[in-house]
Amino acid sequence: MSELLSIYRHALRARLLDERLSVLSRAGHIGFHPDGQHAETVIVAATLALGEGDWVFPTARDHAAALTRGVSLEAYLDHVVGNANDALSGHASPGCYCSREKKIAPPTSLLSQHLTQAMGLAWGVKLRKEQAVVLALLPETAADAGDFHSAVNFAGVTKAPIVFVVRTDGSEAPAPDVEVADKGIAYGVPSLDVSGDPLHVLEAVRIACERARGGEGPTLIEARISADPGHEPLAMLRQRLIDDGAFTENDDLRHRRDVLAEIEAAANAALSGGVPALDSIFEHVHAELPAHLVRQREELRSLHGETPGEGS
Amino acid sequence: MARFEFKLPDIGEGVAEGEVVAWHVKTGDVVKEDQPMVEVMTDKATVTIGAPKKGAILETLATVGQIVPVGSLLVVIETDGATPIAAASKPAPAAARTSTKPGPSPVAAKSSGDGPAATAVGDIRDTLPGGSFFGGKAADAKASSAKAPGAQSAARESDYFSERPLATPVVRKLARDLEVDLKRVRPSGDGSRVTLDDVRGFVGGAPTKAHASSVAEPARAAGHMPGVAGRAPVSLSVPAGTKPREGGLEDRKPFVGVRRKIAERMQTSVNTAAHFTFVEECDVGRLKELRHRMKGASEKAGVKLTFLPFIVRAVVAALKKHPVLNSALDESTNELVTRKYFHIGIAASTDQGLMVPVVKDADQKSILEIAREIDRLGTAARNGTISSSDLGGSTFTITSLGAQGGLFATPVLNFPEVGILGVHQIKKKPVVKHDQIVIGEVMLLSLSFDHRIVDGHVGAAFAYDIIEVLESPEALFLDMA
Amino acid sequence: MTQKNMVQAINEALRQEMEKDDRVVILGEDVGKVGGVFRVTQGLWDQFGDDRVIDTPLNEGGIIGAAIGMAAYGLRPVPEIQFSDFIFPAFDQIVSEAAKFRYRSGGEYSCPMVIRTPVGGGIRGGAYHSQSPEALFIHVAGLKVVCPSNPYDAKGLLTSAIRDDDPVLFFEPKRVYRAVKMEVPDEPFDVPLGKGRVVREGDAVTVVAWGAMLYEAISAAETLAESGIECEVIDPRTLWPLDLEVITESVEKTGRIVVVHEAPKACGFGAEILQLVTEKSFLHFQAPPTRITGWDTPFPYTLENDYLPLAHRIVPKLLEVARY
Repeated sequence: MSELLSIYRHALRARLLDERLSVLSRAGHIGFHPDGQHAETVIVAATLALGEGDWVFPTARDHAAALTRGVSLEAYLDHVVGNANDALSGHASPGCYCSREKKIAPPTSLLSQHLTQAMGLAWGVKLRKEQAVVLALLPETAADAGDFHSAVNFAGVTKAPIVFVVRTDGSEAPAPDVEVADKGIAYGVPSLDVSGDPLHVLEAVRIACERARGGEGPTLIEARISADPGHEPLAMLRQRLIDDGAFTENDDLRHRRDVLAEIEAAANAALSGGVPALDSIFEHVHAELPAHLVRQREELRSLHGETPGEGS
Repeated sequence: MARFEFKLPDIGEGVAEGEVVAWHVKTGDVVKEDQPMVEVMTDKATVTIGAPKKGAILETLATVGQIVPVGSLLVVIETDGATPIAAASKPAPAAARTSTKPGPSPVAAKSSGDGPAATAVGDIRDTLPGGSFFGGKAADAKASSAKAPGAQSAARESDYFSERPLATPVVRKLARDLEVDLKRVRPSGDGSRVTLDDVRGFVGGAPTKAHASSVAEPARAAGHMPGVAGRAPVSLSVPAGTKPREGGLEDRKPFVGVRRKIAERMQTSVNTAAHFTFVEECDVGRLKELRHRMKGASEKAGVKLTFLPFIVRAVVAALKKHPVLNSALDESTNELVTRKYFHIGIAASTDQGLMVPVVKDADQKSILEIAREIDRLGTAARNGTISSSDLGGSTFTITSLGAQGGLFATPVLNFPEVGILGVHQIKKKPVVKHDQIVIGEVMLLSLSFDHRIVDGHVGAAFAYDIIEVLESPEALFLDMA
Repeated sequence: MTQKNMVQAINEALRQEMEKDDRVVILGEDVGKVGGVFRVTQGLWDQFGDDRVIDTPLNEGGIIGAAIGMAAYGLRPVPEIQFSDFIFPAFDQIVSEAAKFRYRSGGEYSCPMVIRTPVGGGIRGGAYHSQSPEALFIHVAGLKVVCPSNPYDAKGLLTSAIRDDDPVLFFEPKRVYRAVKMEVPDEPFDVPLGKGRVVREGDAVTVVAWGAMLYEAISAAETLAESGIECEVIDPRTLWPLDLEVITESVEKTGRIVVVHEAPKACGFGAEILQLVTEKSFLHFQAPPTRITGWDTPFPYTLENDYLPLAHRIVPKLLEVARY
C-alpha cells in the first residue's frame, strides 16, 4: 500500500468515526464529541512519520492520531462511552484518550496545555540522553495561548527533540497578521511552512524527526489545510487516489461500508458494555487510597446497598 | 405481612414526652383497629391510645413507668398485607445505577436532532430533578413556617427551665447517656447554659473534677430538682423482728402516673419557691345572701351556683390591683413575666389524684359563665374525660378545701405561679360588729405566696382586697359594668 | 547528627535523593548556579551538573508543564517556584493537569513530582512574597500538600515526598528557614506523609498549627501554661491527606479545638479541619470550634504583624475557648 493510500485509509476511518460520534452525541448516547474539524489528513500524515519509540501529544479533537497509532475502534469507543471496559475507568472526557503502551499522552480539552508537557517529556529524553521524538499536535487557535509560547520558548532554550505540528485553516479567530511559523522562528525554533498536502506534511515531519534524533533540537511545522468545502482535504485526497488509479469509486464505497460496519459493531458493543464498577470513582486519584477516600467510598457503597468492605 | 412501627405521637399540644401508665396489650395479642393499646400520661392528662391498625403485636417498647419522648418507637404491629408506608421507606434498589444507558440496539434508534440538545459539551436538558421546586412551593413553605412561633409558645411547659435548653455537645451527650431531659435541668452556666456539672448534679452525682471550664464557672450543685437534689436515694426495708402477717408485710407498686407527676410538681414547687402563708378570716354573710338571691335565676339557667364563682371574680379583681400576683419567674431568661390574662386554676380532687382544671379568661366571664365552666370542668375531671387543653396554663390557682378543710392550711404553690388561695369552710362564729357580738358567717382564707417575688405586705394587701370584695360582693357587679 | 537549619536540611534531602535516584532532577528559576533565591539548592548544580539541576526561563506555567512531561516520561522532577505567591501562573498546570494526570488516564500515567515553594509572611516581603495559598491546592483532588515546621521534619518529609508516586506541593515556611536550628541526622531518613504529631501535650484545648504559626501557637500555649491551662499543640505536618485521627483523638480529650493559620479565614484550611473534626467528634465539644487566622484582606506590606495571627492574638482566644 502506498503511503498516500495508507494516509487516506487512516484518515477516512477517523472521519467516519467522527461522523458516527457526532450522531451518537446528538442522540444522547454519549456525553459529547469534540469533532475533528477535518484535520485528519494532516494528523495522520504527521503521526505516520513517527517511529514506535516516539511519543505523540494530541488534543481532544485528534482521535485520528490515536487510531493511527494502532488504538482499536473498540478501545476508543469503550472510552467515548465510558463503559466497564474503558481503559481509562470512565474518568476522561470524550476525546481525551491516552495509552502509555502506545505512547499517546493524555490530551487536554483546553487544546494547548499539553504543549509544555510535550516539551517537558522531550526535555526528559534529552536529559537522559535517550532516543525518542515527541510530536505535539495543535490547532491554529491554540497557538494564541500562553502554553504554546511557553513550550516553544522552552524548546528554543533546551533544544529538546520535539516537533510541533500546527494545522492552520484560516480560522476566523482574531489574530495578528503573522504566520504561525514565524512565531517559532521568533523563539529560535526552526520552522517550516508547508501545504496541507499529506505527503508534504509526512516529509516535513520526517525531516524534523531526523533533526531531533541528530541532536539538532525542535522544529515547528505549520501545515495549511483549506477551510473551503470545495478543497476539503479528505475529499481531495480521495479524488487524487482515484485519479492515480489507486482504487475506483466502487472500491471506495465498499471500503467505506466495511469501515462503517466495523464502527457500528464497535459502537453497539461499547454501548452495551455496562458501567464501570462503583469503586472506580475512587481509583487513580492517588497511587494509594488515602483514609478520607476510603471513608467516602464506604459511603457511596452503602448508598447502593453494598455492605462496607465488599467489592463491587 | 408488614411491620408497622407506631411512634408516640404528640398527644397534647406540644407535649414532649409521656409516661407509660399501663399496657392493655402484650406481645402476641391480636388487636383490632382502635382497640385500647396503651395508657400514656403526659403533663396534661392521661390518654388511652388505640391500635392504629389491626394486626398482631410484635413488640412493645416501653415498660410501665418509663418516660417516652414523643416520636420514639412505642409498639410494633405486624399488619395484614403490605403497607404503603413501609414500602415507600425502602432505599432505592441498587439496580437503578445500571439503567442510565439506553436499552438494546441503541445505535439504530434515533435520528440526529432527537433527544436532548447536544452541545459541544454534553447534554443541556431543560428539566432537572427537583426543578419544580421553584414552582410556587416556596411560598407555601414560608406560610407554614410562619405558624411555628405559635406552636412553640403552646409547647411551653411550666416545669421546664427552658423549652430550648442551651448546652454544648458534650453536655448533650452526657444528658443522653444518663437519660436526662435537659429541659428540666437548672442551668448554671454563662448565658443560661446547662453545664456538665448541672447534668451530673441533676442525676445526683457529685460534681466531678474542676476543669479549666469550671474554674470560671464555679460548680453549683443543681439542688432544686425533684427528688434528686444531692441526697442518697431512700431505701425502705422491713425492720428486723417484724411479725409476719397474712398477705405479706408490704404491698409495693410502681410509683408512677399522676401520683408521681404530682410528687414531682409539689417538690419542684416547695424546693424552688420561698413559701409563706398568710391567713385571715372573712365574713361572707352578705355573699351568702347574694348567692341565695341569685339561686333562682341560676337554676333557671341550669347552673349550679356555689361560692366559688364569686371567689374567682374576687381574686381576679384583686389580681388586677396587684399584677405581681399574676406573674411567674422565667428562670431560663431570668425575667419576671407578668401575665395580662387571667386564667384561674381550680384545684380539684379526683380518683386519679389532684388536678387543676383552668377557667380561662375569668375576667371576661360573668358569674354564671364561670359557674357553668367550673361545673363542666369538675365533671370532666372526675369522669377522667377532661381534655389536655383544659389542664395547665393557669396564672393563679384557687384550692377549695371544702367541708373538711380545717381551720386553715398552707397551700403549696402551683409552681411557677406566685400565689395560691385556699378557701375553707364557712362556719357560724361569734363576731364583734359595732361593739356587739353577733353571729357571723366566717370563712378563713389561707394564701400562700412565693416570697422571692411577693413581699409580705403585698401579699397581705392582696388578701385584704379579696376579703373586701367578698364582704361587699355588690362591688363585683359594679366592677362588671 | 549535626545542628542544621531548614535550608540545610532540605538541601541535604535533595542531595541524598539525587544521589540515590538519578531520575530526580531539579528545575526552576536560578536554582542552578545561583542555588536559588534562598540558597536552598546551593551546591547541587556543582555536584550534579546541568542535566540534573536546571535553570529555566522565568515562566512558572512552563516549569510545571515541563515537569509534568518529565514525570510522564519517568523522571522525578522537583521544580521550585521561587515564592508560593508566584505559583498562580502555573495554577492551571497543577490543578487541571498534574493533579488529574493519573485519574483521567485511568492510571496509565502518573505525575510523581514535588513542587517546592517558600510560603508565608513575616519577612517584610509584601503581597507578592508572603501569602499562604495551601487551601487552594488542598481543594484539588489528586494533590498532596505538605508544610514542615522544623528542619528535621523538612528533611524527612521532603525525602518521602520525592519518593512518593503522586504530585506533592511542598510549602517551606520561609520565616523558619534559618530561624530554627536543631539536630538532624546526616544519613537519609523519611518522615511518612499523612502523619501529624503532638508537639506539646495538654488537656485544656487542642491547638492545630503548621509552618511558622506553629511557633506562635506554642508560645501562646506556654503563656497559658503559666496560669495552669495546658494546651495540646498539634502539627499536622502533611496538610493533605490530613491525619484526622491525631486531631480528633486530642479533641475527644480536650473537648476544644482552635486552628491557627496565616492564610485568610474564609474557606481557609482551618474551616475544613474544624468541619472534619465536627463531623467526627461533635459530641465531645465543650466550646465552639475556633479559628485564628489572617484577616480576609490581601497580605499587607507594612502592618504584617497585625495581619498574622501571632501569639498575642492567640492567647486571649485560647483563654476564651478554655473558659467557655
